[in-house]
Amino acid sequence: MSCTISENPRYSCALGGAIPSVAAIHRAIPVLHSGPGCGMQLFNGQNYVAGYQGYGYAGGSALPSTNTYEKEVVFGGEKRLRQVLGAALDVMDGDLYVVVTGCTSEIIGDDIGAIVGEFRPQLEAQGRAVAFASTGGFKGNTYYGYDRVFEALAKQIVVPARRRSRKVNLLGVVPSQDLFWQGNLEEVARLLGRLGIEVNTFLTGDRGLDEVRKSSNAALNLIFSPYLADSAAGIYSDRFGVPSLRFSSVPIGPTATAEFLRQVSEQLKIGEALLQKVIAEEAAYAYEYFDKSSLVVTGFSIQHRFAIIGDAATVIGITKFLVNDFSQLPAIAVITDDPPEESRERIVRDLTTLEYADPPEVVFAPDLWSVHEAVRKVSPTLILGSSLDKDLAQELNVPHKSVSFPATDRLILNRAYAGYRGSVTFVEDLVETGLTPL
Amino acid sequence: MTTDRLISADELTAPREPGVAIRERRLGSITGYHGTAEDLVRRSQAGTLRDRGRSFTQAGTCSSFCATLQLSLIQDAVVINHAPAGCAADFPMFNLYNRYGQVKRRLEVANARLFTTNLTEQDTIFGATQKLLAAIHEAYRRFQPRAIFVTASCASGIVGEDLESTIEQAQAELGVPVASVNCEGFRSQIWATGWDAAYNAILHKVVRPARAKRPELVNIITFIGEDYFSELLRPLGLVPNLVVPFTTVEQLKRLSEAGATAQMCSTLGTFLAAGLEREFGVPEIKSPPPYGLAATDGWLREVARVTAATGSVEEVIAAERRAIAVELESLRARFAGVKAFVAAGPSHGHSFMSVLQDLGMNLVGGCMLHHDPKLDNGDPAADTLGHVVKHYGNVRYGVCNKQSYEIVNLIRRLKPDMLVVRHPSLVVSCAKLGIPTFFVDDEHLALGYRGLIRYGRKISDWLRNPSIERTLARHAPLPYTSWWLDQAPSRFVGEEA
Repeated sequence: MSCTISENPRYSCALGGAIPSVAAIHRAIPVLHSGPGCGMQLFNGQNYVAGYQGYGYAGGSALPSTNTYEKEVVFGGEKRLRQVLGAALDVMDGDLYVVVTGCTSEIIGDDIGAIVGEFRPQLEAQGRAVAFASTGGFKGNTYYGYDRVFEALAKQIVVPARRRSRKVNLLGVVPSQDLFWQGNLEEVARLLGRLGIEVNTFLTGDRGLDEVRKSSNAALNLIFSPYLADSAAGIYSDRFGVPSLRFSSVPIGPTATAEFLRQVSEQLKIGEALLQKVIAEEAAYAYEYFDKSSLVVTGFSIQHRFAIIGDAATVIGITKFLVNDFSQLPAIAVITDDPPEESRERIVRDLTTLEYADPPEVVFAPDLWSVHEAVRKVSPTLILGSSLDKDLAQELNVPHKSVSFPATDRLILNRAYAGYRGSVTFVEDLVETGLTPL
Repeated sequence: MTTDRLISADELTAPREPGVAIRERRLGSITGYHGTAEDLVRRSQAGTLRDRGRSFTQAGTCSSFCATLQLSLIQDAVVINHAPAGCAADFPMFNLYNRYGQVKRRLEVANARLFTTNLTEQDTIFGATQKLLAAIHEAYRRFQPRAIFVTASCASGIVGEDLESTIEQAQAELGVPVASVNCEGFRSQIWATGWDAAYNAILHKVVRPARAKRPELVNIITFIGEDYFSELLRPLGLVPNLVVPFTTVEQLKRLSEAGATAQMCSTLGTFLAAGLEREFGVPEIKSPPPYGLAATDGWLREVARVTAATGSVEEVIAAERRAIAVELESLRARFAGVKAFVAAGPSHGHSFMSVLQDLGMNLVGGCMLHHDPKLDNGDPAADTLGHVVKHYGNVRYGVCNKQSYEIVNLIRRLKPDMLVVRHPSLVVSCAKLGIPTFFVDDEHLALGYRGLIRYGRKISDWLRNPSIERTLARHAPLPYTSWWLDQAPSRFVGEEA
């Protein structure tokens, strides 16, 4: 993670990624061992500013938290954690409890594993479960926190189960940090369902703990990120023999989605006839709307030299769609999630091996000032970024749409950009930016 | 408890020690109480109030949030959060408040200028003052701000970063005020301490002695509400100066020129108002903020007295009361028998307790996020809860630092017909009880005489259609066990310390 100073960063900390990742699992309760402000600040700083997407079952002000004060800082926080976790099991109606830690408890050096272990036999007897993840804020950013949670679940909750040949786990999509996580996961699951594939998304639906526990029965993990979920994938592979297939983003639009479905079908030995049928039907649905959109797209000559600003997965997914399926010209792609060095070559390759148009300039910059300096130089005619980039769009007098975190200028609930249907939604959003004053 | 000033001049002003004592120590403030408003007022006055801790807690807020928010909204300053990146999670929210308020106040809409030093594990071991110094210089290079505020964090506090010498060095190099803000989250259970820390920085690094007095100007310490103070003060020939959000550094420098300082919420501005009086001779309006008839009467009289206002205050009061009389009566008829409950921060929540009862509702209880047994001015006339008890009578009352499990339990027992909730995160829990829940978005809506009508109309509409709350109650379960909902709300509240 970057150690330099940052102006208006576009992610929070490890705990900030951990809380929504746990809270998104059905009837899972994050239990915070952290300072008094971390819970609300991070839930607001992740979910609230991600298109006001709400608190879910046990997020926001419902989050149990040890609220460590001076006393715990001086004398240690283990006693306090035991007290709060014990009470949380009585007060909070859940199936899975995950203790996640903040900076203070990490600096103090509390033995979280030992305390969580004290509660495990009792909970297991009740059919409930408890786990813990070390997510001290200074250890990494939101993405790192997601990774620690799914690593912890794979290690501490998943048990061996009988393999199902047509079942997959979806990983690498960070709730709230990816604005469209819910809609996208639902749409990917729908498409895979048409191929007869069962899907564990973990973060949507109502199977919760049971889904996590038995996720070792999948034939394959599908990861939608250039670098996330590496450690969880390692555990699934080593302990349960589940391999992983990595995509740099969720597929957006006919070209990427067909390629995605083809690769998954190949791995899971789905019959060619079924694959062809699904691709043809789904594509026809999208193309019918592309046809209708051409009235306004050609009528207003909508073609942009676009700048796109956001996390690597979002930037790759949208850029590929706009270039390969929709005649837009990529001017610059700014990656703001501070991806690990070793993943950057892959990211650049994804963004520069496009079927049409000249590739965009690719810049890595988490800091607002640096992002805007880079974008100004290329004089784009459209900015796809976060709501932090509205000022820049106004300065350059070009349209803007929030497609990456944070987004305080739109409500995002089940909106999806993934797949065939999602790309139609994206076209609506894209064209709308230029029509708003009319 | 005596009515003497609780803080010594040294504690308030000492320039070499910029820290402000936390509210627990300075004011005897608490976060745990279950009982009645009258009992709490009596014990606060007698000095016998003791805090009660909780063995189970949910996430609250911290001083850093309150401090950084206030400072983020100063239009030509920069805030540097000396913290791990997570403490900057609230930046997008502050930016949202900034833009929202800029639209309301008709200012140019632009991003707040917020930096994090992004403390890492390495930094907590080897220190990061050089990084902070570099951040201050970079922030200055980018924006040439008129002041720079450095807010502390749990991590910087625990590892014992020496912010002061770094800040002094930067200030000498840059020639603009650079201030540290001691708002480490772990130091105080009362996040309002963060406002004190922010105001302390303003008071000691920004405000300058007055070159000329502007007696018609009244500093009003507020959040981001609409400027309804102008309509209230205009008849007296006075002009409100809303601070700190959406001011410039120059405006803050000249806080000392005003004829008086008042507040929309006395727990918000207690430290700044008392400090401006003590250090710069700007008198503080100590009477409770102007919400509800009695408080508005008293507040206007006090403002007129202190500022030597030109208009006749009694005439203004009489005219304003006449202007709202007819509609107030019809609102009272509309609300007769409606049982209301207030969950908010003090003393703004006390203001709602008055407003709802002036509107003819039956107040069945209140729960506030903390309790200050006295304010920095030490004046018993400033007791906002005492004002409610005196004018409207006793009511069930709790003090609870945003523990939604406890508040939900309490509200279920009291079965009110409507809830007035100030904090966005609590709103969701309360709405899931199926009770019409009114979120106080603009904290000035109910201000003064006309505010009673504005507020009454709004609530009247809100009560007309509770379909979303009813739907949530049926389909969006609260995350609490039936065991918990059968327990007494104070089950996890411990003995008095």
